Amino acid sequence: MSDAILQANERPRVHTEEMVLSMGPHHPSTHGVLRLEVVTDGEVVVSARPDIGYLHRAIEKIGEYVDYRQFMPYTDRVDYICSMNSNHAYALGVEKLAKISVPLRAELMRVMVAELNRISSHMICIGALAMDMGAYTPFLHGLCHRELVNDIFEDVCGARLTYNYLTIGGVSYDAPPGWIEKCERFVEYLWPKMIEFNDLITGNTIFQERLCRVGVVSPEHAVNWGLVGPNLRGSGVQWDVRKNEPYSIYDRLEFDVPVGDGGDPNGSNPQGELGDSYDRYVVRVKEVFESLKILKQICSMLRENEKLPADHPDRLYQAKLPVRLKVPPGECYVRSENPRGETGYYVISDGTEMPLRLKIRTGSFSALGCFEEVTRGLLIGDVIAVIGSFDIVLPEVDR
Amino acid sequence: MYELLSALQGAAAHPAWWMIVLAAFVPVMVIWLVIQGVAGASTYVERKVAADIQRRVGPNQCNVGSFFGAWAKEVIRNGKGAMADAGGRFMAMLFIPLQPIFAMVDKVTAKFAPGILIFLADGIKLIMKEDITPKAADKPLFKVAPVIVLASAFGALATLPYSDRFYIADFNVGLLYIAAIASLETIGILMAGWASNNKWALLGGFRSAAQVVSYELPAGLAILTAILLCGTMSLQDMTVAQLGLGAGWQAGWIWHWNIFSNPFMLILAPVFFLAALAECNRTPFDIPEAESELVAGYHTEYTGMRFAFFFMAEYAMMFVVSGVFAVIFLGGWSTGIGALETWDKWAVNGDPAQGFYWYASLVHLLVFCGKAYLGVLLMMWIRWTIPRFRVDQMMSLCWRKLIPISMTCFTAVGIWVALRPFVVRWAGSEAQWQSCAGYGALAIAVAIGVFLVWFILRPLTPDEQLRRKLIKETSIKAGAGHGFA
Amino acid sequence: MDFNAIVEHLKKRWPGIEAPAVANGDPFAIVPAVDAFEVLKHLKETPELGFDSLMSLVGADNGHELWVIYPLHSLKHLHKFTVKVVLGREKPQVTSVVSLWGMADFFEREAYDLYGIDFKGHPDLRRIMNPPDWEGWPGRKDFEIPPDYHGIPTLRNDQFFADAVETGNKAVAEKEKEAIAKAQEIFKQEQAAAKASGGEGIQA
Repeated sequence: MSDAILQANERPRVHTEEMVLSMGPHHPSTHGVLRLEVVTDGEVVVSARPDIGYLHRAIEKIGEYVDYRQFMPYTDRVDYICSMNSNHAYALGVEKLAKISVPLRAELMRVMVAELNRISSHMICIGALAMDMGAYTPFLHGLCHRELVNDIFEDVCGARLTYNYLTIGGVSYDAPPGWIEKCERFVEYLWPKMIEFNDLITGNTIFQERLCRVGVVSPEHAVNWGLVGPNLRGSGVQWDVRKNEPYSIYDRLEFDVPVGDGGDPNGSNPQGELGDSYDRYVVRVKEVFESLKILKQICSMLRENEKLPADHPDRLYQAKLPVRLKVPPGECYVRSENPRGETGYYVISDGTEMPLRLKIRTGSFSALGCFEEVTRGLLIGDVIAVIGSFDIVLPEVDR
Repeated sequence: MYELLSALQGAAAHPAWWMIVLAAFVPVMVIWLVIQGVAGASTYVERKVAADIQRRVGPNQCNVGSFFGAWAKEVIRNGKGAMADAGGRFMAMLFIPLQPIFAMVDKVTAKFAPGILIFLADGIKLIMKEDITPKAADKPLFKVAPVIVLASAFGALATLPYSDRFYIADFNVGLLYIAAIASLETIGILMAGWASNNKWALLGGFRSAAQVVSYELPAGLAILTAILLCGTMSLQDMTVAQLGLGAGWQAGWIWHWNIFSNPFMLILAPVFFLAALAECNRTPFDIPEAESELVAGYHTEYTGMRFAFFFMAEYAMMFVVSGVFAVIFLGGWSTGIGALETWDKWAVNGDPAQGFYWYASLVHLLVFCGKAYLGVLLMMWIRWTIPRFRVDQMMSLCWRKLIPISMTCFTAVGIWVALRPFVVRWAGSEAQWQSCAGYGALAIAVAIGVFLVWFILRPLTPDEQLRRKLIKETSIKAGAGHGFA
Repeated sequence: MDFNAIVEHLKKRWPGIEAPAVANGDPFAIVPAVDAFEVLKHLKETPELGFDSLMSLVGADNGHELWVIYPLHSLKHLHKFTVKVVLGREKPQVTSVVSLWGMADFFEREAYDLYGIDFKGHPDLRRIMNPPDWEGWPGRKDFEIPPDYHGIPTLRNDQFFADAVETGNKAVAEKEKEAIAKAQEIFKQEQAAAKASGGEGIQA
C-alpha cells in the first residue's frame, strides 16, 4: 500500500481550525494576573505561551534607590504567600556580603517562622490545586489551617500577610510569652489534620487520575529548565538547599527531603510517571510533615535557649549593627529554600549604603519558562493542573 | 390533578367548568411553587451542607424576623432600602405590630435553620441586578436560552408521581416524556454557549452537548430496564407495580422495590445515579461549567435573573432526576411497609369510590419528596467532596464502563423476566415465588447488616486507633471557633 | 574543583580570561564577550566541570558598562563558578545560552527588556516585563522615565506630592499646619453661625 493512500486514510475527515484562547489575566485559576495565549484545536492545546508583566513593579530597580534595611519590606512583596522566606533569602545575602553574624536565638526564630510560612504556603498550593481540579473543600480546609499560622505570625510581628519580620542581623521582635507553646500546639494540631487532608483528597482516585502522567518533566529537563524546590524534587532530583548547602541552622536539624517517585510500584504514585503533576503535589504534602518535624525540634531548641541567662549572647534576637549600614564592595549569589523553590539574591555592592544591583531569582519565573514545553499536547483542563502543580505566584514572576 | 379535584367534588360524572379551569391553572402554579421551593430550599441546604463539610458556619444572618424586621426598620426610620416608596412604607408599617412575633420566630429559626431566608435575599439581589446582553451576542438566542433550560426542568416536574393521588399528569409514556424533555436542556445550554459569542461559553456548550448525549445512553438503558421489569412506562403505574399487590401477605414490603427485585438492578442503580449526575452537570461531571477551567462555562456572559434561571433549572433538574431514580428503583411514593400499604383504610389498593384518604396521600407525598431529596443531598455531598473529571475521562467512563454495564444488566434483566414464568411454575404459584424471593432478599439484607455491624465494631489496627484518637481530640465543631489558640 | 583550579583550566584555552582578586563575596571570572558562549559550553559539557545548572542570569549596569553574570552550579560535583561578561553601552551583544540551559530563555528576555542586551541566537527575544512598544531600557542607570505612556502619566500628577518632593518635608509640614488652622477657622465660623440662628451648634 502506498504512503499516499495511508495518508489519505489518516487525514481527519472533519476540517478543524485552531482557536486562540486568551486565558487570563482575569481567569479564576491562573493564580493571579498570568495570561496564557492558548492555541487550541478543540480541547487539545497546541501551545500555551505565558504572557507576563502585568504585575511588574520594578522591585529590583527600587532596590537600587533604597538602603539595605529599607529594602526588606519590598522582599515581602516579591512573594507575599511566603514573605518570611523571602525576607530570609535577602537577609542572608546582605549578611554574607557585610560579614554579619547572627545570634543563635535569631536564627532559631528565623527558621521557626520560615518553616511555619512554608507550611502555610503549601496549604495554599495544595488547596488551590485541589480547587483547580474541581474540589472546593480542601482549599477551605487548607486556608483554615493557614489562618492559625497567620495568628501565630500576628502574635510575633503584628502582621498577617506582609510581615517584614526579619531584619538584617536578626529578627524585629523576640517571641512574646506563650508563643512557643502556641507553636507546639499548632504542630500537635496540624499533624492529624494533614492525615485527614490526605484522606480527603490525596487518595482520591479522580484527583490522582487528573494529575498522574500530566505535565511530565524528566529529571534532566528539570535541571536544564532551572526548576527548583518541590518542582525539581517532584522530578526525582534530590536537591534541597537546606540539606545540600545548609544555611542558618539547618545543618543541626533532622529532616528528610521527599522526592517524587512516580511509576515506582511501592511509591506514592504507582500508576504515574516520574515528574508528573501528582509527584509535585505529593512532594509538597510530604514537605509539610517534614516542616512539622523541624518545628518540633526548633521548639525544644528555643526552650533550651530560654534557660540561658538573659544577657547571654545566644539570647539576643538581633546583632548590634550601626544605624547606617554600609556593605563593603563585592558581589555574591545567595540562595535559600523557599516553598516555591530556591530564591536567589544576586547582590552587588559598591560600598555605599545602597546596593548597585539586586537580582532576584525566583522559582515561579523559571517554572513559567518551561511551561510551553510541558503543556504541549495536553487538554485545557490539564493546563490548569500544570499551573497549579507548579505553584506559580505571579508577584514572584513579575517582581 | 383532575382526579384529585373529582375526588374533592365527589366523583362527578360531568366536570364543572371551574374544575377544568382549575385543572389547567393549579398544576402550573404548583410546579412553579415546587421549582421555587426546591430551588430556594436547595440553595440554602447546599450552603449549609457545604459549610458543614468545610468546617464553616454557613449562612446565619438572614432569619425570618430579622429579614423583614430589618427591612421594615430601614424603610420606616431611614427611608432607604428596597421598595422605599409609599407602598413599601405602607407594607413596612403593617410589619410593626408583627415585631414581637418576628422576634419569637427568630428565636426558633435561628436555632433550627439559621439564615433560612438567604435564598429570598439571593433572589431579590438577582432580580435587581442589571441584565446585560453582550453587544456581539446573538440576541434572540441569548435571551431565549435560559427560558428553554428552565422550561425543560419545569416540564419534567409535571409527570413525577408525588403521591398516589397527587400528581399533575400521568401519561402512559411518562418515562419517555421525561427522557425527552430533560434532554431539551442541552439544546438550551448549547444555545447559550453559542449565542454568548464567548469562546469559554462555546467550549462549555460543546462539552455539555457531548456529555449529555453520551450519558443519555446509560440513563436510558436503566430506564428501559425498569420498564422491562414493570411492564409500563407510566410513572404512577410503575410505582404501583413496585407495591407487589399480588403477593399476598408480602404485598407492599420493601423488597418489591425494583432495586431489590434482582441483583442486576442493584448494579444498575449506581450507574443510573452517575448518569443522572452527568445529566444535571453536577460535580464530578460539572465539566460544562467547570469554573476553574472555563471561567463559568456556558453561562459566563449571563447576569441577573437570566443567570438565576440556569441556577434554578439546575436545582429543579436535580430534584427531577432524583425523583425518577426514586420511581424506577426505590418504589416511588411507597413507604416500603407492607402492613401500612395494604391496610384497607389506607385505600391504596381499594377503589376511589371508597373515599379519599388524605392522610395516606400526605404520607406518600412526604415519602416521595424525602426519597427524591435524599438523592439531592447525596449529590450535594458528592459535590463538596470530590474533584471533577477531565473531558476524556468523563467520556471513557461513560463509553467504556457505564454503557457496557448497563447493556449487560439490561440483557440480564430481560432473561430474568423471560424466565420468571418458568420459575413461578416451578415454585408453584406467584405468591409462593414471591415468598421465596422475599426470604432470599431478607437473608441478603441480614447478611449485609451483619457485615456492617462487624465493620463498625471490628478491632482496629494500632495505626487506625492512633489516627482516630488524634482526629477525635483535635476535631473542630462547626461554629466553635478555631478550637485552638 | 575549586574556583582557582577552574580558572587555571580555562586559561589554558582562553588566555583572555581574568579573575580579579575579590576581598568580599563570591569570586568571579571575567570572560571576553566573544568567547563567552564557547567558555560556557565548555563549562557545561566537560565531564569534570559538569555545570549542569545555571542558577541565575543577571544583567547589570554599574553606570559606565553593562554586565551579564552567569552564576553556575554543578549538581554532580557540587561546585560553583561565576562567569561575568563585560559589555559596552553601545550595542551590547553576547551569544545566547538557551541552547545550553533552557532556563536562560526567560532570563535573557528579562535582561534584554531591562538592559537592552542583545542575546544573539535567542529564539524569541521580545520584551517580557514591559509592554512591547516601551522605549528605552529601564534597568540602566541613565534611564529617564518618560512623562507619559500612551497618554497615561507615569508620574503622580499631584501638586501636593510635587511640592513635598521639591521643598522637603519641613515646608509640607507648615503647609499642613496652615490647612489645619484654616479648617478650624471655618469650623468656628460655622459654629458661631449656628449659634446665631438659635441652634445648639455642631457637637465638636
